[in-house]
Parts: sequence; C-alpha cells; structure tokens
Amino acid sequence: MINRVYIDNFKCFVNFECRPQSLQLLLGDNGTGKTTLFDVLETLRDFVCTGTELMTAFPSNTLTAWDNRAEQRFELGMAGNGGEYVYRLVVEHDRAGPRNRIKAERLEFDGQPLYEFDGHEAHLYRDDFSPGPVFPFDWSRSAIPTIPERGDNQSLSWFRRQLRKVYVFSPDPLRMLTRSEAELDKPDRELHDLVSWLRHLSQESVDTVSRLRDVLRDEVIEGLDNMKLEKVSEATRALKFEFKFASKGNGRAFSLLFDQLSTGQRNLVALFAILHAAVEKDATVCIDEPDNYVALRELQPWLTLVRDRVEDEDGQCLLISHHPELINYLAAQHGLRFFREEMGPTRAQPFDGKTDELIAPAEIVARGWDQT
Amino acid sequence: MAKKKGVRVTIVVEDERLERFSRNVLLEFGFSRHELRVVPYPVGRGSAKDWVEKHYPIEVRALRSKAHQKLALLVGTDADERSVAERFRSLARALQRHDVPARMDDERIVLWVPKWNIETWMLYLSGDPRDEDHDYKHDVKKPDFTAVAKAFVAEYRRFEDDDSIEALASLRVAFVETERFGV
Repeated sequence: MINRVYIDNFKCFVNFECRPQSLQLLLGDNGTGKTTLFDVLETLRDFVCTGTELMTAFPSNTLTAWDNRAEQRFELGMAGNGGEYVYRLVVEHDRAGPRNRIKAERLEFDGQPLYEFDGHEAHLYRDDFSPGPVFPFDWSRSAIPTIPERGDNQSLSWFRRQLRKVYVFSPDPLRMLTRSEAELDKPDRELHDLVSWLRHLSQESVDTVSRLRDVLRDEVIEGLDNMKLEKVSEATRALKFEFKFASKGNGRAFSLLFDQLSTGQRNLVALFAILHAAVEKDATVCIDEPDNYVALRELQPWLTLVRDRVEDEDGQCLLISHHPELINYLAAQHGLRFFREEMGPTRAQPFDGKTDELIAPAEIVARGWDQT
Repeated sequence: MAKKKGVRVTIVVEDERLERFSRNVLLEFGFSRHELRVVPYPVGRGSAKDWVEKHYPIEVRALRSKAHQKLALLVGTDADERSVAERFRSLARALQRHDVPARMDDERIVLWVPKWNIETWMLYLSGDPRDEDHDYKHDVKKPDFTAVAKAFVAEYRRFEDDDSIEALASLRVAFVETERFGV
C-alpha cells in the first residue's frame, strides 16, 4: 500500500506531502489538486514500470507556474513485502530547451539501497544490500523497467510488480465500447475498453467475472439474468446482458448490448468490475468521481463493498468525490481535505468533522465550515 | 433478480467495527446490501455514543411512520464500563426525552449492546472466550468479520433451538433481541 506521497514543484504541488490511508476520500474545492495527485501516481507508475520517457512523463509545463526552480521531486512510500519501500526521483528541467533529465533516482527498502541512478550510472544492489552491477544508463528514462528479475533482486522486483498494481480510473461510461477486438490486461483510465478487460479476466480469472455477474444480477441491475461475452466474429466479442422478469406482465425475455444499457448502469458495471478485479492485496485503486451518473440508492451499497474489500483483501482505495453520500459515509473517518490558499500550493489535512454530531459532513462542506 | 426492494434495515451504530459486524451478520441472515442502510456516524467515542442516543428516537419515529412496510431498526452501541441494562435504560430514556413511546415487544427495533465492547463478542465468536469484565478493544488487530458473522448466526440458531446454551450474558441478550428481526 502507498503510505506516503511527496511532490515538489509539480503543478499545484510545492513541498506537498500526504500519507494516504487504506481507504481514503479526497475532498475539496475544484482546482485543489485532487485529480493531479492521481495523475502523479499514474505517471510515476508508468515511468518506473513501463519506461515512459521523461519528456512525456514530466514535461516542463508541469513545473509549478509561480516557482522558478528547475528541479522537481517525487517520493513514494510503500509498505509491503515485510518492510517499507521509498522511491525517490529528482527531475532537472532545462527551461530554455527540451533536455530534461533524471538528476537522481533511488529505491530503498527499510532504509537500504536497492537501486540508484546518479544521472550517469545505474547502481544495483542485491537483496542483501551488497553492491551489484553498475552500468551507464540514459538519463531520459528509468532503468528500473529494464532490470531482469533474478534470484538476488527479489525486493526490487516486488516493488516493480506492486507499483504496476496502482490503478487510476476516471470511468467515462459515455464512451465505453460494447465490442472487444482483443483481450486487454491493463484497462485504460476511462475504461473505454472495459469489455476487452473483462475478456482478459474471463480467461485469466474466471471466478472474478462470475462474481461480477452474480453481484450485478443479484443486487444491482433489476431483471438481469445473465451477462456474457458473445462471439461476433473470429476476433470480436460483444458484452451482452440478458433480462428476464419474474412477473408475467412484463413480457418475454430479452437482451441488450452493453451500449444499450443506461449511462448509469454502464458505470455501475465498471465500478463493480473495478472492485472485484482490481481491489486486491497490496494494490492501490484510485477512482475519480465514481458517483457520476449513479442513482443515489446505489452508492452506499457500493461503498460498503469497497470498505469491506479493502479491509478483507489488505488493499487500498482512494476516492475523489464531491457527492454528499460519499462525504457523509466516509469523511469523518477517512476524509482528506485538499485546499489552496489564494491559488497557492496545495495542502491536505484530515477532514475536521467536529460539528458532525449536529450537522452532516456534506452540509459542513457545503457551508464551507470545513475550511474554518 | 426479483424487483429490487428498498432498505429494510436501518443501522445506527457508533463506530466502524460495530458497523461492519452488524452488516456482516445481516448479510449472513440473507439480507442484501441494498436492503441495509447505515446512518453515517461521527468520529470519537463520546460524541458517537451521544449521537446514537440522539438519533435513536428519530429513527424509531421514522420506522413507525412506515409500520406497514415491516422495516427494522438495528442499534449497536458498546456498554463500555456501564452495564448492558444501564445502556438499555439510557436508550429508553432517550425515547422518553423526545416524547417517543417505548419499544413494544412486537416491534422490529433491535438493540445490540456488547459488554464491554464488540471486541468481546468477536473474540468469543472466534473461539477465544473472554469474560465481560475487561476491555479487549486492543486485543483484536485484524478481525475476520465474515467468520465472526457466521459464528454469530450459528450460535443464534443454536439459541433458537435451546435457549439454555452457554453464551456471554450480553450475547444472550443480543440473541433475544435478534428474534425481533424474525429471520
């Protein structure tokens, strides 16, 4: 689980630190950096795990607008594998030209080095922290994705595997596709390719898809009898929902393709898919405004499932929302308020609900009383 | 799936562990998540207890306004250093203060009051029997709510068959209260 994030000189973050809980609701006014925090987590994941180029990950227009410094700093603390990891990255920007570079990159486990890059050479350390290979490397990307897993670098490999399990979602049901041309093991942020992800899961994790189908049928979508991936052509599958109503007056059974469901229903399918497929041990799932398009009475049942799965699976779920239902249910124990003084740097502090005996947390937020 | 029902059980509790315990037991009894609604509660021991007493009469009134719908109200609050009976009396006084008539025997208003706190029940139901004279709040690090809920329901079923079975005193009271659900 990610237990510390430090960001300096990146957009609205200057010397910013937060320590997310296993279940956390990020709340606050528009423009306070909540979604930007998710952007940072996603970017660091891709930078460290898939080798995204520095200029793509951290272009110079991500420097804080009012700050003249050329260095950006990022730190991630992660608990797991019986200890504590700290990942640090310093990016040096060339404001006059396009030659940003990694100034320093370091990965530690329980305070001991596993990997270090000084801008010129990559230094590897074994699991017993004894020095390993040293080799020159390119300062425009991280060497971590290129390091093959071996018997003596299991700690580093563990970190890399777990960082891959940082998921950032901003479900966009308006553009979720009904058809899939291929399996996809990594869903995109907006879940446009949700069906391709389900297709992958139906091969790799049949139980997950069965549980998803069962919960949608038994608790979420009225009249739903079955959900399945139907073959349209050799490569193409379509997600189909079959309905059957108990009362005779409602006519015969019928089916609908995914894009024939309502926007809210598509979002619910996505939300429950996320819960069942992504919330797992040591994974961090970030969901930006899950409440969009969803009916009020669906929210608390989904939230209780989030809470239970995070606890039972030792996972982590960070949610961004302005919705009263989420604020009232989560803010008192799990709220982290983001704020900025006069569009200055972002700060975060636990939600202060001292008056929430008398007034619900959402009403406190609506009145701006969480800011005083 | 049959037509989706509305909320059938409103849950008023003072903290997360009581919430999770209550929800898991009700799920084990066969309720769906859509049939349960947790009334969000504040943080903090003192404030949450007071909040339960303030909300209890409100929810009893609300329940009675829908009497024809066979809804239920579950209230969960730790006895802590007081006795279970004192806690029951305290809740009864809360109704009186708000001019709400006392609970009737046939009403689905269920009070679960663990002594000292829910951790005592969780340990007992996990096969680690403790007395009710000590506070075990910090002895439970990572509860297995699913297993504890199954154990509660199993013990309740045994109690239904034979009410002389051995159990913690506050748990026996809870079993009697649970009969009000009619599950």
